[in-house]
Amino acid sequence: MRALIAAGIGLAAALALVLAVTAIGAPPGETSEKPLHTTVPAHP
Amino acid sequence: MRRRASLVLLAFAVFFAALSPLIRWYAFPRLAKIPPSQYQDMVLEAKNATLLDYATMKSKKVPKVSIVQTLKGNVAAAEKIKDRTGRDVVVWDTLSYVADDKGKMVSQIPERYVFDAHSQEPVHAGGEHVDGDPVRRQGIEYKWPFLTEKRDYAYFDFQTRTSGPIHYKGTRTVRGIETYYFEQTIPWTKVKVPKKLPLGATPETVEQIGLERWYTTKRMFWVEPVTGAPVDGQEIHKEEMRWKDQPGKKPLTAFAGHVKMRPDFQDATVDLVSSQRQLVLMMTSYLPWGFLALGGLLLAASLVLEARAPKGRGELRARPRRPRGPRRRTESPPHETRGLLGLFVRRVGSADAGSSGHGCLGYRPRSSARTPR
Repeated sequence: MRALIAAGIGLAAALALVLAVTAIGAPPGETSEKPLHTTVPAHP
Repeated sequence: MRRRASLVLLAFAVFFAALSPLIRWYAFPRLAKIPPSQYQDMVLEAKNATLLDYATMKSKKVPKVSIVQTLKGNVAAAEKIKDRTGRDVVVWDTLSYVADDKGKMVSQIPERYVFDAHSQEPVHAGGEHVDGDPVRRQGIEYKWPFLTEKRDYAYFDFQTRTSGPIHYKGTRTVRGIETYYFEQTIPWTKVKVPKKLPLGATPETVEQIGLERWYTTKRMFWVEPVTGAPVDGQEIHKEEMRWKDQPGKKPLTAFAGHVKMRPDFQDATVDLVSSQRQLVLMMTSYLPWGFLALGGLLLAASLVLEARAPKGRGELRARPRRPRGPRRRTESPPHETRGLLGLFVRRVGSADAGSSGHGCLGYRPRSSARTPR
Protein backbone atom coordinates (compact mmCIF):
# COMPACT_ATOMS: atom_id res chain seq x y z
CA MET A 1 0.00 0.00 0.00
CA ARG A 2 2.80 2.40 0.90
CA ALA A 3 4.51 1.54 -2.36
CA LEU A 4 1.37 2.45 -4.25
CA ILE A 5 1.13 5.74 -2.40
CA ALA A 6 4.77 6.53 -3.16
CA ALA A 7 4.24 5.72 -6.85
CA GLY A 8 1.12 7.88 -6.89
CA ILE A 9 3.00 10.80 -5.38
CA GLY A 10 5.70 10.48 -8.06
CA LEU A 11 3.13 10.34 -10.85
CA ALA A 12 1.15 13.27 -9.49
CA ALA A 13 4.30 15.37 -9.15
CA ALA A 14 5.31 14.62 -12.75
CA LEU A 15 1.86 15.51 -14.05
CA ALA A 16 1.73 18.70 -12.00
CA LEU A 17 5.17 19.80 -13.20
CA VAL A 18 4.44 19.20 -16.89
CA LEU A 19 0.99 20.80 -16.71
CA ALA A 20 2.41 23.86 -14.94
CA VAL A 21 5.28 24.32 -17.39
CA THR A 22 3.04 23.97 -20.45
CA ALA A 23 0.40 26.26 -18.95
CA ILE A 24 2.97 29.00 -18.32
CA GLY A 25 4.43 28.68 -21.82
CA ALA A 26 6.75 31.26 -23.30
CA PRO A 27 6.16 35.03 -23.37
CA PRO A 28 5.10 36.30 -26.83
CA GLY A 29 7.67 39.08 -26.92
CA GLU A 30 7.24 42.28 -28.90
CA THR A 31 7.19 43.13 -32.56
CA SER A 32 10.69 43.99 -33.69
CA GLU A 33 11.55 47.63 -34.29
CA LYS A 34 13.74 46.63 -37.21
CA PRO A 35 12.39 47.43 -40.68
CA LEU A 36 11.70 45.17 -43.61
CA HIS A 37 14.86 45.60 -45.69
CA THR A 38 14.78 47.74 -48.80
CA THR A 39 18.54 47.70 -49.12
CA VAL A 40 20.97 44.82 -49.22
CA PRO A 41 22.35 44.26 -45.72
CA ALA A 42 26.13 44.17 -45.47
CA HIS A 43 26.12 41.24 -43.04
CA PRO A 44 23.66 39.00 -41.14
CA MET B 1 15.16 3.50 7.46
CA ARG B 2 16.04 1.49 4.35
CA ARG B 3 12.39 0.80 3.68
CA ARG B 4 11.57 4.50 3.85
CA ALA B 5 14.47 5.30 1.53
CA SER B 6 13.26 2.66 -0.92
CA LEU B 7 9.81 4.26 -0.98
CA VAL B 8 11.34 7.70 -1.64
CA LEU B 9 13.41 6.20 -4.44
CA LEU B 10 10.29 4.56 -5.83
CA ALA B 11 8.47 7.90 -5.87
CA PHE B 12 11.37 9.48 -7.78
CA ALA B 13 11.54 6.50 -10.13
CA VAL B 14 7.89 6.92 -11.04
CA PHE B 15 8.34 10.71 -11.28
CA PHE B 16 11.14 10.47 -13.84
CA ALA B 17 9.63 7.52 -15.73
CA ALA B 18 6.35 9.44 -16.07
CA LEU B 19 8.14 12.62 -17.15
CA SER B 20 9.68 10.80 -20.09
CA PRO B 21 6.52 10.30 -22.22
CA LEU B 22 4.90 13.45 -20.81
CA ILE B 23 7.75 15.62 -22.11
CA ARG B 24 7.85 13.93 -25.51
CA TRP B 25 4.14 13.66 -26.28
CA TYR B 26 2.48 16.28 -24.10
CA ALA B 27 4.92 19.10 -23.39
CA PHE B 28 6.86 19.12 -26.67
CA PRO B 29 3.88 19.61 -29.02
CA ARG B 30 2.69 22.48 -26.81
CA LEU B 31 6.03 24.15 -26.10
CA ALA B 32 7.77 23.81 -29.46
CA LYS B 33 6.58 26.74 -31.53
CA ILE B 34 7.73 29.61 -33.68
CA PRO B 35 7.89 32.71 -31.47
CA PRO B 36 5.39 35.34 -32.68
CA SER B 37 8.03 38.06 -32.39
CA GLN B 38 10.59 36.45 -34.66
CA TYR B 39 12.57 38.68 -37.01
CA GLN B 40 14.76 37.14 -39.65
CA ASP B 41 16.46 38.29 -42.80
CA MET B 42 18.12 36.42 -45.62
CA VAL B 43 20.06 37.51 -48.68
CA LEU B 44 20.15 35.37 -51.78
CA GLU B 45 22.22 36.17 -54.84
CA ALA B 46 22.20 35.29 -58.50
CA LYS B 47 25.59 35.79 -60.14
CA ASN B 48 25.81 36.65 -63.87
CA ALA B 49 22.06 37.01 -64.09
CA THR B 50 19.89 38.49 -66.83
CA LEU B 51 17.65 41.45 -66.01
CA LEU B 52 15.20 43.57 -67.95
CA ASP B 53 16.17 47.23 -68.21
CA TYR B 54 12.84 49.06 -67.98
CA ALA B 55 14.37 52.25 -69.47
CA THR B 56 15.31 50.58 -72.76
CA MET B 57 12.97 47.56 -72.46
CA LYS B 58 15.94 45.32 -73.32
CA SER B 59 17.39 42.41 -71.38
CA LYS B 60 20.98 42.69 -70.20
CA LYS B 61 23.53 40.67 -68.27
CA VAL B 62 24.42 41.95 -64.80
CA PRO B 63 27.14 40.66 -62.49
CA LYS B 64 24.78 40.12 -59.59
CA VAL B 65 21.14 40.33 -58.51
CA SER B 66 20.32 40.25 -54.79
CA ILE B 67 17.06 39.08 -53.28
CA VAL B 68 16.55 40.27 -49.72
CA GLN B 69 13.88 38.43 -47.78
CA THR B 70 12.78 39.80 -44.43
CA LEU B 71 10.33 38.08 -42.08
CA LYS B 72 8.91 40.11 -39.22
CA GLY B 73 6.53 38.65 -36.64
CA ASN B 74 3.57 40.92 -35.90
CA VAL B 75 2.80 40.19 -32.23
CA ALA B 76 -0.28 42.42 -31.95
CA ALA B 77 -1.92 40.82 -34.99
CA ALA B 78 -1.07 37.32 -33.69
CA GLU B 79 -2.66 38.06 -30.30
CA LYS B 80 -5.81 39.40 -31.93
CA ILE B 81 -6.19 36.20 -33.94
CA LYS B 82 -5.45 34.11 -30.86
CA ASP B 83 -8.20 35.92 -28.93
CA ARG B 84 -10.62 35.21 -31.76
CA THR B 85 -9.68 31.62 -32.65
CA GLY B 86 -7.96 30.34 -29.51
CA ARG B 87 -5.02 29.15 -31.59
CA ASP B 88 -1.34 29.98 -31.17
CA VAL B 89 -0.59 31.69 -34.44
CA VAL B 90 2.29 33.57 -35.99
CA VAL B 91 1.71 36.49 -38.33
CA TRP B 92 4.67 37.17 -40.57
CA ASP B 93 4.83 40.35 -42.55
CA THR B 94 7.44 39.65 -45.18
CA LEU B 95 9.12 41.52 -47.99
CA SER B 96 10.98 40.06 -50.94
CA TYR B 97 13.10 42.92 -52.24
CA VAL B 98 15.05 42.38 -55.45
CA ALA B 99 17.98 44.69 -56.18
CA ASP B 100 20.38 44.88 -59.11
CA ASP B 101 24.17 44.95 -58.84
CA LYS B 102 24.08 48.67 -58.00
CA GLY B 103 21.53 48.14 -55.23
CA LYS B 104 18.66 49.69 -57.20
CA MET B 105 15.21 48.18 -56.75
CA VAL B 106 14.11 45.70 -59.41
CA SER B 107 10.87 44.69 -57.70
CA GLN B 108 9.44 44.23 -54.24
CA ILE B 109 6.61 42.01 -53.11
CA PRO B 110 5.16 42.19 -49.59
CA GLU B 111 3.22 39.30 -48.06
CA ARG B 112 1.29 38.50 -44.93
CA TYR B 113 1.51 34.88 -43.88
CA VAL B 114 -0.62 33.61 -40.96
CA PHE B 115 0.14 30.13 -39.68
CA ASP B 116 -0.11 27.83 -36.68
CA ALA B 117 2.90 28.37 -34.41
CA HIS B 118 3.20 24.65 -33.65
CA SER B 119 2.37 22.85 -36.89
CA GLN B 120 3.09 25.64 -39.44
CA GLU B 121 -0.28 24.92 -41.06
CA PRO B 122 -1.80 28.07 -42.58
CA VAL B 123 -4.55 29.72 -40.53
CA HIS B 124 -7.23 31.50 -42.54
CA ALA B 125 -8.10 34.26 -40.14
CA GLY B 126 -8.14 37.13 -42.59
CA GLY B 127 -5.37 39.43 -43.65
CA GLU B 128 -3.38 36.91 -45.70
CA HIS B 129 -2.12 38.52 -48.87
CA VAL B 130 0.58 38.56 -51.52
CA ASP B 131 1.41 42.00 -52.89
CA GLY B 132 -1.94 43.24 -51.63
CA ASP B 133 -3.98 40.47 -53.26
CA PRO B 134 -5.95 38.33 -50.77
CA VAL B 135 -4.87 34.70 -50.87
CA ARG B 136 -5.86 31.49 -49.12
CA ARG B 137 -2.71 29.48 -48.60
CA GLN B 138 -2.53 25.71 -48.48
CA GLY B 139 0.61 23.98 -47.31
CA ILE B 140 3.80 25.48 -45.98
CA GLU B 141 5.96 28.42 -46.95
CA TYR B 142 9.50 29.38 -45.87
CA LYS B 143 9.66 26.78 -43.08
CA TRP B 144 8.86 23.09 -42.63
CA PRO B 145 7.24 21.70 -39.47
CA PHE B 146 9.31 20.55 -36.50
CA LEU B 147 10.37 16.91 -36.98
CA THR B 148 10.03 17.09 -40.74
CA GLU B 149 9.08 13.79 -42.34
CA LYS B 150 10.54 12.10 -45.40
CA ARG B 151 7.57 12.83 -47.64
CA ASP B 152 6.23 15.36 -50.09
CA TYR B 153 4.65 18.54 -48.70
CA ALA B 154 2.36 21.12 -50.23
CA TYR B 155 4.32 24.35 -50.74
CA PHE B 156 2.82 27.75 -51.46
CA ASP B 157 4.33 29.62 -54.38
CA PHE B 158 3.84 33.34 -53.88
CA GLN B 159 4.40 34.23 -57.54
CA THR B 160 1.56 32.04 -58.83
CA ARG B 161 -0.43 32.35 -55.56
CA THR B 162 -1.04 28.60 -55.69
CA SER B 163 0.19 25.55 -53.78
CA GLY B 164 1.81 22.53 -55.31
CA PRO B 165 3.75 19.52 -54.08
CA ILE B 166 7.37 19.92 -53.10
CA HIS B 167 8.96 16.51 -53.44
CA TYR B 168 11.23 14.80 -50.95
CA LYS B 169 14.30 13.60 -52.85
CA GLY B 170 16.49 12.04 -50.16
CA THR B 171 19.02 13.08 -47.54
CA ARG B 172 22.01 15.33 -48.16
CA THR B 173 24.74 16.66 -45.87
CA VAL B 174 25.12 20.44 -45.79
CA ARG B 175 28.02 21.84 -43.76
CA GLY B 176 28.05 18.77 -41.55
CA ILE B 177 24.29 18.77 -40.95
CA GLU B 178 22.11 15.97 -42.28
CA THR B 179 19.27 17.51 -44.25
CA TYR B 180 16.23 16.41 -46.23
CA TYR B 181 16.37 17.64 -49.81
CA PHE B 182 13.12 18.91 -51.36
CA GLU B 183 12.49 20.03 -54.90
CA GLN B 184 9.59 21.77 -56.62
CA THR B 185 9.27 22.76 -60.24
CA ILE B 186 6.78 25.43 -61.25
CA PRO B 187 6.13 25.15 -64.99
CA TRP B 188 5.79 28.26 -67.12
CA THR B 189 2.82 30.08 -65.64
CA LYS B 190 1.34 33.52 -66.29
CA VAL B 191 1.69 35.54 -63.09
CA LYS B 192 0.81 39.00 -61.88
CA VAL B 193 3.21 41.89 -62.40
CA PRO B 194 4.58 43.22 -59.08
CA LYS B 195 2.98 46.47 -58.00
CA LYS B 196 6.36 48.10 -57.37
CA LEU B 197 8.75 48.18 -60.31
CA PRO B 198 11.65 50.47 -61.29
CA LEU B 199 11.10 53.86 -62.96
CA GLY B 200 7.57 54.08 -61.63
CA ALA B 201 6.36 51.27 -63.89
CA THR B 202 3.12 49.66 -62.74
CA PRO B 203 1.15 46.57 -63.76
CA GLU B 204 -1.13 48.90 -65.74
CA THR B 205 1.69 50.46 -67.76
CA VAL B 206 3.15 47.02 -68.50
CA GLU B 207 -0.26 45.90 -69.71
CA GLN B 208 -0.65 49.01 -71.86
CA ILE B 209 2.61 48.17 -73.62
CA GLY B 210 1.06 44.81 -74.43
CA LEU B 211 3.18 42.63 -72.16
CA GLU B 212 2.33 39.94 -69.67
CA ARG B 213 4.61 38.28 -67.15
CA TRP B 214 5.39 34.55 -67.22
CA TYR B 215 7.49 32.66 -64.75
CA THR B 216 9.07 29.26 -64.11
CA THR B 217 11.33 28.06 -61.36
CA LYS B 218 13.03 25.00 -59.97
CA ARG B 219 13.01 25.46 -56.21
CA MET B 220 15.39 23.48 -53.99
CA PHE B 221 15.53 23.34 -50.21
CA TRP B 222 17.85 21.50 -47.85
CA VAL B 223 15.87 21.23 -44.63
CA GLU B 224 17.28 20.36 -41.23
CA PRO B 225 14.60 17.84 -40.17
CA VAL B 226 14.57 18.36 -36.38
CA THR B 227 13.81 22.09 -36.54
CA GLY B 228 12.25 22.09 -40.01
CA ALA B 229 14.43 25.07 -40.94
CA PRO B 230 16.04 25.25 -44.38
CA VAL B 231 19.84 25.54 -44.11
CA ASP B 232 20.21 26.05 -47.84
CA GLY B 233 17.86 27.22 -50.56
CA GLN B 234 18.35 27.71 -54.28
CA GLU B 235 16.19 28.55 -57.26
CA ILE B 236 16.81 28.32 -60.97
CA HIS B 237 14.46 31.13 -61.79
CA LYS B 238 13.27 32.56 -65.13
CA GLU B 239 10.80 35.36 -65.81
CA GLU B 240 9.72 36.58 -69.21
CA MET B 241 7.62 39.46 -70.44
CA ARG B 242 5.64 37.96 -73.31
CA TRP B 243 3.83 39.96 -75.95
CA LYS B 244 0.10 39.58 -75.69
CA ASP B 245 -1.59 38.34 -78.85
CA GLN B 246 1.79 38.21 -80.63
CA PRO B 247 3.05 34.66 -80.11
CA GLY B 248 5.70 35.02 -82.80
CA LYS B 249 7.41 38.02 -81.19
CA LYS B 250 10.45 37.18 -79.05
CA PRO B 251 9.71 37.57 -75.33
CA LEU B 252 11.84 39.79 -73.10
CA THR B 253 13.74 38.07 -70.32
CA ALA B 254 12.78 39.95 -67.16
CA PHE B 255 15.02 37.89 -64.95
CA ALA B 256 17.06 34.71 -65.32
CA GLY B 257 19.55 33.39 -62.86
CA HIS B 258 20.58 30.72 -60.39
CA VAL B 259 19.67 32.13 -56.98
CA LYS B 260 21.68 30.92 -53.98
CA MET B 261 21.98 31.92 -50.32
CA ARG B 262 24.78 34.40 -49.73
CA PRO B 263 27.51 32.46 -47.84
CA ASP B 264 27.60 34.74 -44.76
CA PHE B 265 23.83 34.45 -44.34
CA GLN B 266 24.02 30.72 -44.82
CA ASP B 267 26.68 30.51 -42.08
CA ALA B 268 24.44 32.50 -39.73
CA THR B 269 21.49 30.24 -40.58
CA VAL B 270 23.51 27.08 -39.94
CA ASP B 271 24.64 28.46 -36.55
CA LEU B 272 21.07 29.38 -35.60
CA VAL B 273 19.66 26.05 -36.71
CA SER B 274 22.39 24.11 -34.90
CA SER B 275 21.56 25.78 -31.58
CA GLN B 276 17.79 25.44 -32.04
CA ARG B 277 18.26 21.81 -33.02
CA GLN B 278 19.77 21.07 -29.61
CA LEU B 279 16.73 22.59 -27.87
CA VAL B 280 14.32 20.48 -29.89
CA LEU B 281 16.42 17.35 -29.37
CA MET B 282 16.42 18.09 -25.64
CA MET B 283 12.62 17.79 -25.62
CA THR B 284 12.30 14.92 -28.08
CA SER B 285 15.27 12.75 -27.25
CA TYR B 286 17.75 13.72 -24.54
CA LEU B 287 15.31 14.37 -21.68
CA PRO B 288 12.79 11.58 -22.46
CA TRP B 289 15.45 8.90 -22.81
CA GLY B 290 17.56 10.28 -19.95
CA PHE B 291 14.61 10.41 -17.58
CA LEU B 292 13.47 6.94 -18.59
CA ALA B 293 16.93 5.54 -17.83
CA LEU B 294 17.09 7.48 -14.56
CA GLY B 295 13.66 6.15 -13.59
CA GLY B 296 14.83 2.60 -14.28
CA LEU B 297 17.97 3.08 -12.21
CA LEU B 298 16.03 4.55 -9.32
CA LEU B 299 13.54 1.69 -9.46
CA ALA B 300 16.40 -0.82 -9.37
CA ALA B 301 17.99 0.99 -6.43
CA SER B 302 14.65 1.05 -4.67
CA LEU B 303 14.18 -2.68 -5.14
CA VAL B 304 17.69 -3.41 -3.91
CA LEU B 305 17.13 -1.33 -0.79
CA GLU B 306 13.82 -3.00 -0.18
CA ALA B 307 15.33 -6.43 -0.59
CA ARG B 308 18.04 -5.61 1.93
CA ALA B 309 15.63 -4.04 4.40
CA PRO B 310 14.95 -6.10 7.53
CA LYS B 311 11.94 -8.34 7.01
CA GLY B 312 8.95 -8.10 9.29
CA ARG B 313 9.87 -4.79 10.82
CA GLY B 314 6.70 -3.24 9.52
CA GLU B 315 4.61 -5.71 11.50
CA LEU B 316 6.70 -5.24 14.59
CA ARG B 317 6.26 -1.52 14.61
CA ALA B 318 2.62 -1.66 13.79
CA ARG B 319 1.54 -4.07 16.52
CA PRO B 320 0.56 -2.90 20.00
CA ARG B 321 2.65 -4.10 22.90
CA ARG B 322 1.75 -7.55 24.06
CA PRO B 323 0.83 -7.65 27.73
CA ARG B 324 3.29 -9.42 29.95
CA GLY B 325 2.53 -13.03 30.59
CA PRO B 326 3.41 -16.46 29.35
CA ARG B 327 4.47 -16.35 25.72
CA ARG B 328 2.89 -18.64 23.18
CA ARG B 329 4.20 -19.57 19.83
CA THR B 330 1.58 -18.89 17.21
CA GLU B 331 1.55 -19.19 13.45
CA SER B 332 0.12 -16.39 11.48
CA PRO B 333 -1.88 -17.02 8.34
CA PRO B 334 -0.12 -16.47 5.06
CA HIS B 335 -0.06 -12.79 4.15
CA GLU B 336 1.68 -10.41 1.87
CA THR B 337 4.82 -8.58 2.79
CA ARG B 338 4.42 -4.88 3.27
CA GLY B 339 6.32 -2.25 1.43
CA LEU B 340 7.64 -2.24 -2.10
CA LEU B 341 8.52 -5.90 -2.39
CA GLY B 342 4.98 -6.71 -1.36
CA LEU B 343 4.01 -5.75 -4.87
CA PHE B 344 6.06 -8.61 -6.24
CA VAL B 345 6.64 -11.22 -3.56
CA ARG B 346 4.32 -13.15 -1.30
CA ARG B 347 5.72 -14.21 2.00
CA VAL B 348 4.27 -17.23 3.71
CA GLY B 349 4.25 -18.44 7.31
CA SER B 350 6.32 -15.92 9.27
CA ALA B 351 6.29 -16.11 13.01
CA ASP B 352 3.89 -13.80 14.69
CA ALA B 353 5.79 -13.69 17.93
CA GLY B 354 8.82 -11.66 18.85
CA SER B 355 7.50 -8.23 19.53
CA SER B 356 9.87 -6.67 21.89
CA GLY B 357 8.38 -3.21 22.00
CA HIS B 358 11.64 -1.73 20.92
CA GLY B 359 10.14 0.46 18.24
CA CYS B 360 12.35 1.09 15.30
CA LEU B 361 15.20 -0.71 16.97
CA GLY B 362 13.00 -3.65 17.84
CA TYR B 363 14.03 -5.97 15.08
CA ARG B 364 15.07 -9.34 16.27
CA PRO B 365 15.81 -12.37 14.18
CA ARG B 366 12.91 -14.79 14.08
CA SER B 367 14.97 -17.42 15.81
CA SER B 368 15.46 -15.12 18.81
CA ALA B 369 11.82 -14.09 18.74
CA ARG B 370 10.86 -17.68 19.17
CA THR B 371 13.27 -18.21 22.02
CA PRO B 372 11.34 -18.43 25.27
CA ARG B 373 12.56 -16.12 27.97
